[in-house]
Amino acid sequence: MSEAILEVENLVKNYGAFRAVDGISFAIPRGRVVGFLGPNGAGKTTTIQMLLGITLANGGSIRYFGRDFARHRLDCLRRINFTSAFNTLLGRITVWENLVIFGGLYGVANARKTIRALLDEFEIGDLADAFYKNLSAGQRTRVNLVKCLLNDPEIVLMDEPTASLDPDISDKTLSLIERLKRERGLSILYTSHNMDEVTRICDEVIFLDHGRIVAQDTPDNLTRRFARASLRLRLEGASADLVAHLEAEKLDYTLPDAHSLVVNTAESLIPGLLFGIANAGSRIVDIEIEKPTLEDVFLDFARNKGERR
Amino acid sequence: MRIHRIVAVLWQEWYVTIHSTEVIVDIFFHPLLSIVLFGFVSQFLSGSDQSQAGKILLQGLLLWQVIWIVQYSVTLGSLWNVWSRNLSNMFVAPMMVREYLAAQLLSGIVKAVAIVVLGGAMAKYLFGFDVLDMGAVPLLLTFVNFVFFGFATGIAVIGVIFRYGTRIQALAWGFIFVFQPLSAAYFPVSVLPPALRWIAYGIPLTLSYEGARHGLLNHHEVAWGMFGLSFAENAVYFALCSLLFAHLFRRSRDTGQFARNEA
Repeated sequence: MSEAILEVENLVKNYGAFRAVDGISFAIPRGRVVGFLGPNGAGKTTTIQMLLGITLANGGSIRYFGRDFARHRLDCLRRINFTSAFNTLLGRITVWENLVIFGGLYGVANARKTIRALLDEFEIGDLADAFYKNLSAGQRTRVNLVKCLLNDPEIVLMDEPTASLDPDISDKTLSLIERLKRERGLSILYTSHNMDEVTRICDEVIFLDHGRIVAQDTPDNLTRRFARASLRLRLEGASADLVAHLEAEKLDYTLPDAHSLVVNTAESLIPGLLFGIANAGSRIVDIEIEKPTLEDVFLDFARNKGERR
Repeated sequence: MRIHRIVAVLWQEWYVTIHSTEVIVDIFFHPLLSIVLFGFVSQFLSGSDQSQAGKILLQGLLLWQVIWIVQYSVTLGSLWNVWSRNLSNMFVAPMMVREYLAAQLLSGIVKAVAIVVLGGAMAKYLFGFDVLDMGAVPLLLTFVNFVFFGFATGIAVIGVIFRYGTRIQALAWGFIFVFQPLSAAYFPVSVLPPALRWIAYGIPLTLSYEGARHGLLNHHEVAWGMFGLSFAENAVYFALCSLLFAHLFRRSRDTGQFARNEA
């Protein structure tokens, strides 16, 4: 595994008697995009706030680039950045003015040149003199991305950056993020409720529930691990032997009509299942497999709160 | 502390000010209108047997603008960021809190100088009152004292808003006026009932106001004792407000209120 940009160990946050984050540990290697998922109240936002230092942890440690965040806050913040759909820049000043301020705060050398280059890179150079409050949601997202790249960060924390964007703009934004990852080797911690985009851009996914990490793996592995595929078969006819076989195997199945069979099963069992059905004397004329998605995994977690560990 | 970060926050103050009619109105329109109003009252009083009362009144008002504008500038500077949901962006930048506050102080000083110069010019040319009648040294000492009082009050108010949220943001406009009746801004302390005088003397503003009036009525004479004591009280007040701010800022981040302020 490559060098860890961010290491979190046993992080704890209590709000009074309520434990919002319960001893989570994870690491983000250089150049990896890690998705942070979980139902509302799982502790995602609180964790991000602690990783940025705007909320204080009650226990555990946060290390960026091998340095303790609490002790080297400014050094760490110089090399990281943050963007969120829920945080905006100052509305009543222009895009350019907003970016000049952050260029100064981050001590960017040749700030004006850097801002101009980034605005051009994101194809919003013509918005420099526009007031931020007058921008569309998609334009704001791009400006926010420019702001979060001003200091050429090594890791960016993105809190639902595509929330409230329409599908087209959202897709363009994701393409930009993919490009940033590819061309700059950025590490990204990415929270979203949109499972398709998490599947698309994340190398790894961390599922949080009740303040704990309940799963951590690649999107593919997670879907294999937790969800079940739905096998839809078109048959010449469902024989009595077929029903006896399905019952004997204790399969989760339905027969919507005389020529259809739907079986919910683990993806890995599908080849054996097809073989068994064929042996039971039913001729298969069409096969359709609905593979599990990350959304199925998410829903599974959300509906079985705390039961699956 | 790094100058480039302080300058960045000052740029923010400048951009917000030039693009916000309400800020310009708050900073210039209201104070200058008050000076016109008090100028007429002063002229009315100058015809009475209390001929100095008008001058004292106008001087008190002009100096009050220093306290008010510094406190207002410090608190409003932060509230703009809260209202725009930009506060987190600012505080996740590599900026020390004291750099942020230093920039707010400098911004407040610039605005206070602008008001004293403009207001002073208006008072002189419209009503014949010269702010330098109290003497340059008393004016400078009073100005410095009031700047630090306004700043200390401002950071205490920001701390309270950070900790308890914008539902009490009215403090940003109103809190400073709590001190006005007892700080003897427009009249000598001797006007107050004896029991209240001792409370009044415990407020750093009071002795500075007395010192400023002493300079006005005694041909620029500097009341070093009053100013010295006022500075000492101000130092204690400033230290207490700084500790309060540090405590509330920490509690705000500990309880999660700091981030929730933008929700």
